[in-house]
Amino acid sequence: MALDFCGISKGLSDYARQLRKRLALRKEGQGFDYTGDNWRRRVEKIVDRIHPEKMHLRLNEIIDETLSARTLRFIREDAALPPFRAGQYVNLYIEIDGVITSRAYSISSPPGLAYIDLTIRRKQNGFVSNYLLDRAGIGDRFVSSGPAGQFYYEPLLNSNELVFIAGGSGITPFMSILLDFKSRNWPVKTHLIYGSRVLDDVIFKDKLNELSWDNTQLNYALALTEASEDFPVTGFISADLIRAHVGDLSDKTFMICGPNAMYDFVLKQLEHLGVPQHKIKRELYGPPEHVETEAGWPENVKATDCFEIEVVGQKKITASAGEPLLNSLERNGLKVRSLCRSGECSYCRAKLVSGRVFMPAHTGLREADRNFGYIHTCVAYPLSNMKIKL
Amino acid sequence: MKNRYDAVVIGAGLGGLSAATLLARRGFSTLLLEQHNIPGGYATSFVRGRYEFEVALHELSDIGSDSRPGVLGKYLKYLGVRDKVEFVQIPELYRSVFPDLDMTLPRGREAYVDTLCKAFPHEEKGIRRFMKRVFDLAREVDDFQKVQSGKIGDVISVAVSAPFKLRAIPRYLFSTWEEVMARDISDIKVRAVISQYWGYFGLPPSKISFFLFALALASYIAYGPAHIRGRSQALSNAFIERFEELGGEVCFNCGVSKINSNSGKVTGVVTDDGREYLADIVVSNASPIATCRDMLGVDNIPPAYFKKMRSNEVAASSFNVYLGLACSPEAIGATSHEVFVNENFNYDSHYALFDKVAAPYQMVVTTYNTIMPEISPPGTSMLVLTTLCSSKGWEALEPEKYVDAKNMVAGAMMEKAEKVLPGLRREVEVVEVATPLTNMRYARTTGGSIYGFSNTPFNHTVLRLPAMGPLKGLFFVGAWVQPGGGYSPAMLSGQMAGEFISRIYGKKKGRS
Repeated sequence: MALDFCGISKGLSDYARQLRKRLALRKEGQGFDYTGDNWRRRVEKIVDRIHPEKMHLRLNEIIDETLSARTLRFIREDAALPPFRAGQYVNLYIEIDGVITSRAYSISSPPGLAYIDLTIRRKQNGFVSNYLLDRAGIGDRFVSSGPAGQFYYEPLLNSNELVFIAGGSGITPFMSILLDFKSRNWPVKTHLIYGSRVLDDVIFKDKLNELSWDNTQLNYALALTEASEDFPVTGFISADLIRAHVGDLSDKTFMICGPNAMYDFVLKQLEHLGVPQHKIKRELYGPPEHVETEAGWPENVKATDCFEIEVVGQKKITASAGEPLLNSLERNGLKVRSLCRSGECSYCRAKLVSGRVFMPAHTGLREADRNFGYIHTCVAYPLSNMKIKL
Repeated sequence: MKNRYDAVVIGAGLGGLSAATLLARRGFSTLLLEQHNIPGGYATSFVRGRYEFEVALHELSDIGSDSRPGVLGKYLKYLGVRDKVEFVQIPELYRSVFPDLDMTLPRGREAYVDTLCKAFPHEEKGIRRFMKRVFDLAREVDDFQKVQSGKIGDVISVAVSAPFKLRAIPRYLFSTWEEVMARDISDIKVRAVISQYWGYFGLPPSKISFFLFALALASYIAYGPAHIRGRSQALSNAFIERFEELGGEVCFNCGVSKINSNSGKVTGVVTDDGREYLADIVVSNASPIATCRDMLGVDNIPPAYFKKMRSNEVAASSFNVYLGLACSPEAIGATSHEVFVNENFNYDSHYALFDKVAAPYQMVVTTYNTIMPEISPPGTSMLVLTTLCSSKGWEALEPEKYVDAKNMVAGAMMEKAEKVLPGLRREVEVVEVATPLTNMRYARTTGGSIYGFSNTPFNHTVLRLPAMGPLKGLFFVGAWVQPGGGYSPAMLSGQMAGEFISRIYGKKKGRS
């Protein structure tokens, strides 16, 4: 008992001493005046300099590249352009004939300029690309996302010998990367193989020749599937072609960008050549064009089948099995946030309350989202009538 | 969607998720608004290539086992969240690596103390005395908390015994960890090893509250650390599922720009896209700084409240390097879940670098495959290198220099990690680097803080801002307020706010 009493008195005197210290401290304050203007929207102000959520752009120049492709040059009106990593894309939000939608385009100009270039190629039935090529005019205003994506050269892990394989308009991120290497004098050796149909279709033909002309760091080859007067047929980007052009393949990092059909072909060639999977980086290229040919697509559903989709608390729409759910939602006037439109970024995540969807195997869905019934609507294709919650 | 609710919760971080679920369970019609597209705040995951990375969680405290649940385990059970999540026990506390010292600290009080005493026989007496202080305090707080049960017997027994028992609480309430440690232990090596968890609380032993550190360490030792099968996202998603089962409504991609108030009472919120919701109760998971400064407006807050916040500094942020490796963990010798890698025994030298953009002297290397082999594809491993720093250096950086700066720090950390995991850099397949600005970007947290306000001896646990805000109907949850930062405290803050609200607004329909 007596001992306890000592404990209490010792404790209390400690306590009193410390309490005085605390009260003194509170009186003084420590100078963090959170009412000050520097604390106003502090997070947003700092983050927006590097990762703006939105950018207000003006189309400043249109440059013809080939018969089917143009470069649209944009300047940013609401603030300075943020820094980005060569190879990244922006998602361009756009309203066409009453439909609010968006498409992601790689930036083809290098970082550090007063503008960004988006090089766009005509696509059969391309809702947005054809609008941009035919109807967009100088002075038009657009809203885009900030630069995004992970398709860039990463000095932390990539070896300093790279192999770039591009198909069609898949050349655009590589253009940005190559120009960036040049201006920064990166000590990186690059082998570029660019596959296209005919010579007239080759985007940046002259620029690439110029870049590789007196540059021992860039080893460039064109692969065409149709002959023309000036260029022999080389065929698809086959294992033989890759080996002949690149030589020793060990310890090289492969970066691939092109249509989904090209991925299927080129990835098989690389596998054949014994290039390990983890040395290959592929850019997203939108949802699959013919989803019914993807592995795992059920036999009893046709791409043309239509289903009824109930969006909880909003409305009921009809959607076809062969089209990404996000596109159907947008066409029916529903607002959905989106960014990559390739299944990776989860901006368009929604809860599947009931019904079934198909999502390609490489969709970047989180494990917990899969288990709790969430989908990425940009690569989700309806397989039955369903109910979702946005 | 309705436009009137009993309560609106701003932010689906762990505090917001916990408060929203508890309120829904108590029968309040509740709307949960989150600016991001997923729930969790920092308790999330992200996908890169064939890897899905855990964003933040290293070791979860207070879960315990089914037969002996910790305080958080019990609470999650009550909410109905516990059964939707699988917790994975971590077999040891941590491995501590110094230039000439490498030891692993086990779970359990006896084993922990014995391991230390064996390694440092010359300090045995001091170690035992010091650990007794730690556990005495923890027991005292535990006893004291019985009052909360409301059982008359408990209240009487605490009231009668308190004067004789309550010694540790007043004695240590305002002490730093180092002050107390200095009484018993003089060897800096022992101090550094015992204090290794300081990184979990954001301040070095010379500045961190003894009270907080002791309670947390005691809980880790006694109940053991755990992790979540399917990563933090599984816990956050489980909260949402439970919340919706209980009738709650949740809206993602839905930031709040304004909290409406009228003569000292909150009346509702306005979202970024202009929708207005009416509610007499608003629970904010955002920082009190941003809530008062930006959502309510300085003029609507009693100046005394800002004065109260004045003595509180924003706590540390984090720097993370997420690594997907194309080799098994064994191939690089990764056998422990949590490895602290220290360049020296002087924790203050590391703290001195906090405001700079520089390679750290201390970091922790976490290999998730050791406890959850299925977390990455067969033949691969998933690692995270974490260190603490403040956002100051990063905020001051020119935007153009950002990428090079983060790669400089990340590269240095990867090189340092090679000391414990030789060959690591050769196997890297995917790397992603997150700075304090990344925390700010995704969670919108002031200063990218991961622990709210700093846990100084004058601002910890019961001394932090309470859940009750400066206006009637306004409540705070999350790391900024009581009981403090970290996964378990953030969830318990939601419990505190929910209990307050239930008591004040008197609805206890008690749905099950």
